[in-house]
Amino acid sequence: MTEFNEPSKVDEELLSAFVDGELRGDELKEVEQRLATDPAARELVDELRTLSSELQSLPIETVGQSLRDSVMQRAERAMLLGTADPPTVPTQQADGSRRWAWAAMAIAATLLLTIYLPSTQQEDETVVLAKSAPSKVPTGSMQIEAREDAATADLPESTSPAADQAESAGNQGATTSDSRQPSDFAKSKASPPVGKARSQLGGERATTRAEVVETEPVTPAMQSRMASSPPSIPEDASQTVGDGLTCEVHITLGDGTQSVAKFDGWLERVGISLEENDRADKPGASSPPTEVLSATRSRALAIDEELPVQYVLVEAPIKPIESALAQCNLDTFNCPTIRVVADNDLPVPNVERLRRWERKADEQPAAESDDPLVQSSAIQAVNQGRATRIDRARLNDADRQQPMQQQRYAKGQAIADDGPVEDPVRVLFVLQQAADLREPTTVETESESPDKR
Amino acid sequence: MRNVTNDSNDTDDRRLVQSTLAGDQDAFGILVERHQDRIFNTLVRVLGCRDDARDMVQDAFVQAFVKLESFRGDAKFYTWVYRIAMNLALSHRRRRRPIDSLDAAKENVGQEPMSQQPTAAQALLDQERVDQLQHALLQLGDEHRQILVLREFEGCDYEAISEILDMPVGTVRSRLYRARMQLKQQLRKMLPDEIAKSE
Repeated sequence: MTEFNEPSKVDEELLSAFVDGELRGDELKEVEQRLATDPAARELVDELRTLSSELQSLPIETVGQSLRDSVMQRAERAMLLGTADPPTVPTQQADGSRRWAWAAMAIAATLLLTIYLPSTQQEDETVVLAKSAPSKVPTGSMQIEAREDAATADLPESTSPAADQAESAGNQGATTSDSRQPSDFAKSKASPPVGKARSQLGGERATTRAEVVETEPVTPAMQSRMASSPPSIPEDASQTVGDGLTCEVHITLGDGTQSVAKFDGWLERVGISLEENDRADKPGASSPPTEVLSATRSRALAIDEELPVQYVLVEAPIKPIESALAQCNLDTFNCPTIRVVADNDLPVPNVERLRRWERKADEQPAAESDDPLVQSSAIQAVNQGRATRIDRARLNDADRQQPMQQQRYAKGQAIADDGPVEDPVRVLFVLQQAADLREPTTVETESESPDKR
Repeated sequence: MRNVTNDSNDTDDRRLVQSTLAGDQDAFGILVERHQDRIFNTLVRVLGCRDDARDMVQDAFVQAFVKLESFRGDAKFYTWVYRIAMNLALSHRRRRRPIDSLDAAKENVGQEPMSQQPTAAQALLDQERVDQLQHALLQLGDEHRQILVLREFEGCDYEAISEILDMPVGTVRSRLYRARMQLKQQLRKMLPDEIAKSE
């Protein structure tokens, strides 16, 4: 894409930074000297300046009205719904029918946020119940008291498609790894914990197992999301390392076995060793991440269960994961679509780094072949992390009984090309044959491939 | 140029945040009115649609209000809301079909009279060029459009962009360069249409 043959791309980056007034010291002198002697460089600088000036000269758009009232009204609703409970203290503004309509949606949201692990063998195991309940809210007239058991005790039966869906998912059974008391879900409904579990962003580890976790209140935007998206990973969990999951990355495979091999190759290239999950042969290998899978399996909307699907749990610093994903992004044939699933609109830096490499079927790659993230020479990766392939057949076997192992990789062993070495995070890759991108006969042939691995 | 991290209203913003947390809703209303247009202008560039941008601005402030307690003041209030808004906008855009025609882009961005007096430079930009630039911006990938918006419309320096996007300054520099090259490429693609129209 280089349109200027004279300067190299790195040089052109310098010229771009020069236009922005971001060069200092030697770099500035270098560019100034070059501009004095190089017409091509001067031409590029002129072009960039013109472009920048034109962009800055675009008309300024204004809303044209104050959003204050509408924002405050919606915020009030959100705070009301943030409890996910019918209010015991009536709010000043909301009339009865309107309040209960919103409360019904909040209840449906609570059900959607209930995370299940489908099981055919252990249907008496526990579930993680995510209950909307912010610990503190801005005080004032919007603050309302929440009854801890209201969300479930007053639950109308099948009040919405969302509720139906959640109920249906719940009937499939559920499990978590370390809290194995039978019927915790029913127990939770009858007498939910009074205390509210809370973890700090980026701080202490989230409590994701069989306990109440806080979720963000339901806003109109969230309602929209819930209509089209699977349940969310709690925000706090997405920040954790160890028993938390940063996000899922759903990748469709363009060519079955070949695409899987490509994916494996990208992982290896960035220093993430792939281990088949076979504990019988490899004592000490990681156990399947049951709570991770519970979240995944609950996302029936996101995963077509009729097609072969592979789960690959990667535990590594974010950079090599991002690097592998950037290479996926470049390969439109083997990875026609890439989607990061975290359902969290607030900034989560690690998730946002991976979101950069999302791609729809009709989109061009965001990555470029000369991007350092996809250049093997720049990666210099050894022992960056580990990936574990989890076969579907294994989802229901005794592996689930094993507690999650905390795998951390020595910072000293990870080699990064710049910046500090980061702590490992956990990302679950969900690889699935892209059925709609293949001819029917090809799909039939290829669809068996991933499972054979 | 405005700079997200050098907002002179920052101290006042913090005071309004504290007032809101203490129960004064009017204080948050002031924050909304103070920042709504700036965020709106940015989101129009990102989304290419005034209606969507207006919705996203409202959603962002609603989320900010609900999450206000988690705002610890490490960043400027505006930066914090901006990041919420940008994430909402990008998520929204990912769920929506891309705008694929100049006419559609014009329709969505709108040709409504602007509330502010045009600068001399604006006057120099004829409407066709405005349309081209807006359309070309919408053709960029999210990460390229986002960084261009931060630089050219928000007036952020590299350090501020680095803070907002959580990436090294070196990456900001290279990505901005790539974004500009892609924008040039998109604009170049429009030239044949322009020539054809003139014939």
